[in-house]
Amino acid sequence: MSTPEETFKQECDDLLTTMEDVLLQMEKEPENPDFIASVFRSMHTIKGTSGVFGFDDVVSFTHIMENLLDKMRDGEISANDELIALLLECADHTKILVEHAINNTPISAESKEKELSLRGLLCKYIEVKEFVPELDEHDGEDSEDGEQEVGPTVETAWWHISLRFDTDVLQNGMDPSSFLMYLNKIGSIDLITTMFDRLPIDDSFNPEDCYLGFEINYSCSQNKQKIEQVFEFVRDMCKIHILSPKASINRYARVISDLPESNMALGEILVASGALTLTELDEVLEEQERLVADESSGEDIPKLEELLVENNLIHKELVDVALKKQTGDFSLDESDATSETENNKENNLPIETKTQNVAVEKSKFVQPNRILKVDAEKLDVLINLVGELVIAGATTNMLANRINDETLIEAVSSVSHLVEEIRDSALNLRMVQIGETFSRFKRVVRDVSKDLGKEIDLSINGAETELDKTVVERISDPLMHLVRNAMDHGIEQGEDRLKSGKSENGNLSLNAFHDSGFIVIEVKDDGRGLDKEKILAKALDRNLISSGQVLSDHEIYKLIFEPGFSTAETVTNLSGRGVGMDVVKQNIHALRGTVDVDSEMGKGSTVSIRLPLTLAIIDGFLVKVGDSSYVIPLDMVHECIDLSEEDDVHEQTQGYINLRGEVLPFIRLRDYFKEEGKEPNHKSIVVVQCGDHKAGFVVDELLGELQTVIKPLGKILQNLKGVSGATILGSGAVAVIIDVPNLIQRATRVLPHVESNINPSQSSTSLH
Amino acid sequence: MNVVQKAEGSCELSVEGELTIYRATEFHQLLEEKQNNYQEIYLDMENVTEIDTACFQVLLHHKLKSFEQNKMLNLKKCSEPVLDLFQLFGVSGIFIKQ
Repeated sequence: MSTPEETFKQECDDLLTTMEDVLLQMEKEPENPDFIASVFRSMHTIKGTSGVFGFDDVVSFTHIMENLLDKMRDGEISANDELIALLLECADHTKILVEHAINNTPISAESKEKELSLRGLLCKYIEVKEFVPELDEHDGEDSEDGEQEVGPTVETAWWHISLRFDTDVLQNGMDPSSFLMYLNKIGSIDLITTMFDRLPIDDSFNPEDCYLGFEINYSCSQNKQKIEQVFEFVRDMCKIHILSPKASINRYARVISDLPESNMALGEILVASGALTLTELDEVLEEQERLVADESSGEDIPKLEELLVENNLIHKELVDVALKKQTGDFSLDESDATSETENNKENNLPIETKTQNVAVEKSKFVQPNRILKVDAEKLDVLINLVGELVIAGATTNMLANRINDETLIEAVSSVSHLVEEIRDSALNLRMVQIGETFSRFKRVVRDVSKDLGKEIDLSINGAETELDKTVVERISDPLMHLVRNAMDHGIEQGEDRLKSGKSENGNLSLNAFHDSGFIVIEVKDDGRGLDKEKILAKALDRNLISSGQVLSDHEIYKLIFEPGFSTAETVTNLSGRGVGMDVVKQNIHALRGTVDVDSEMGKGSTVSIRLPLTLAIIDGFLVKVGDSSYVIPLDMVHECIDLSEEDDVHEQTQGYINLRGEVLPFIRLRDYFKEEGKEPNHKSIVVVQCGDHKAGFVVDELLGELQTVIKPLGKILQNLKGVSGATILGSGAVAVIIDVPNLIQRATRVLPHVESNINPSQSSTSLH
Repeated sequence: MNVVQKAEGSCELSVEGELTIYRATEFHQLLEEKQNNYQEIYLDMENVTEIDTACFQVLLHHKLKSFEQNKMLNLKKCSEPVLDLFQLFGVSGIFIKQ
């Protein structure tokens, strides 16, 4: 189970990521009010929640930011690049503060210094405003809403505060009572009516939802702003109306029409609480009628009008209801109501209106949240179970075939069809779009390009491509390396680019797309490209190759993934320390993926990462070699052909066959896995493809497709080459899953008879 | 939370400690169960050290329900924090007999 702190951390991370994203967009459109509002909301929520946890450091820092953002929202401060950069830094710092607060560790001296400087910078923006004295409080408050009190005003001695809390306010850790207590501290609540019309009396009551609202007569000497500040933490979790002692009648009318309770009942409560006199209420209702007529031109009007026409008839009863609500006497039941409303032509009218209101309210609150957060562990359990289901399904299938009962086979086949669908949807649950990971790089590119003094544009393609969450998480670090490398080593300085006839701004693109059961992620830059000579020299220097070796371009590029390799002349703080590319390669291999690099001198380089879509279950192709079964991932199977006797003899010597004029290197699985048992006369070749490479596997027998649940290999077998996992067949036997990329590499690079002396030039010439 | 059954159809409960949102569901279930089984419930809140809006709502919910079902939910003794909250919300009249 996750603790509230973890949830908070998660939420903060999400909010800060959103904020960062929005800030980056703001750089292009600084005046867009939606962006500012979004940033404000993020900060506001972080501050509010931190307050609940008592993370004072976070609160005090975010408070300054919030103030600044509030002023930006009001248009007092306009956004510019400098300010946005500052806000980005502040977001980073907030993240650090939150981490420290959650781990309960003291903040490092460095962070403290950073905070001081950030605070200083922030204050530069805010202070200006804070020195402006607020002279005329009342006028200020009125003009705040951009309107003057027009028409007749209601004279009372109190402020009127009307509060309706949202359902989720309690779950957000807020306690409405604490706000009221605070109100009592800075002024005094003279009269309060707790509104609980929304509180269900039936089983739909949820003890952790809030159903309350309050009508408050409040006296205090503060201005409206101060009163509003009391509710700052819940501002977006409740409806607040604050009416000054001299609010106009149409203000009251608006409040009444805004609130969920029936208009009449509310009006009466206002009267009962002394906020309005009866005469004033009538005026308010007239105004209300006018507002309604103005605003809507649909079927609603007659009903409301009707209600208002009936005004005098139902008047008395509602006063009773309102008063009863206040004294808490709830003995009023339906029989009471009917007996008292003999004058009422349609005596269920008020009740009906009320239920309608409630219904409207409910549909508003029960709006389904379309995103559900689920513990990753639960998903893992589900996927494991689906895996077991697939295996059990295979067993049933096998037994049904053995019994050879037609109806049973039919039933089993529809079950396996369903199982297949369940498998796909279960796996789909873990799929996330890579876009989120990609968009994180916007910030990286922005920051790094500033550091390097280069102008770099980032373009993202295929952000909607989906892949397994675990893969997404683990790919983000290697990607970071690649992106930084591309910016640091790949893309040249502006003037150099101009000299070589390129645009001054460097281009970096992140692409993702699907390709035969794999997802391919490309990091592409239009920089100077890889320098073959330098790589070769370095490789020789590091004894990675021997001096006589002839390598293809591709093989030369691949050398950069060797441990301890760096061609950068200057080691910067970004990259070039010679760790990195090999770690990238290792990380990607750990995900059963491959990494490849392609480059053209002066034009740029492309690093492509190929990753399997999922880590748990795949469609496999079952083959038999000797007495054992092997599974080849179906997505990589290109075709199956017979191995002719002629080829069979031929390949013994040369290690490749002629496939319709194409050279197809292959591996005999029987030899490779040292299988024993009788060799059949007739053998088949499974042609597999991975990226641009093809190879053939010679097998004894083709057994067909199979849903394969990948079971990880034990520690002893983990370093076995050519095997990526194992699975359990319906019969209970274990089948080995072949690591196709690895074997293709072996087949293309290494001819069987020269295994001890690796000479890539031979394979490359023999291939092309 | 202690429960003492007094007479037929009536029961006396006492709740203690902090009645906050963390216990709101528990509190709700307790009252729900008792309200289903007994005509009269006497709730002793003398040792409640803290009460928040969530638990107040639970109390209110069951009080309203008791009106609806013609049952009784009476508060026997209330501690200071409970009384303070009633006063703050202006609902003392609902819960406390004058």
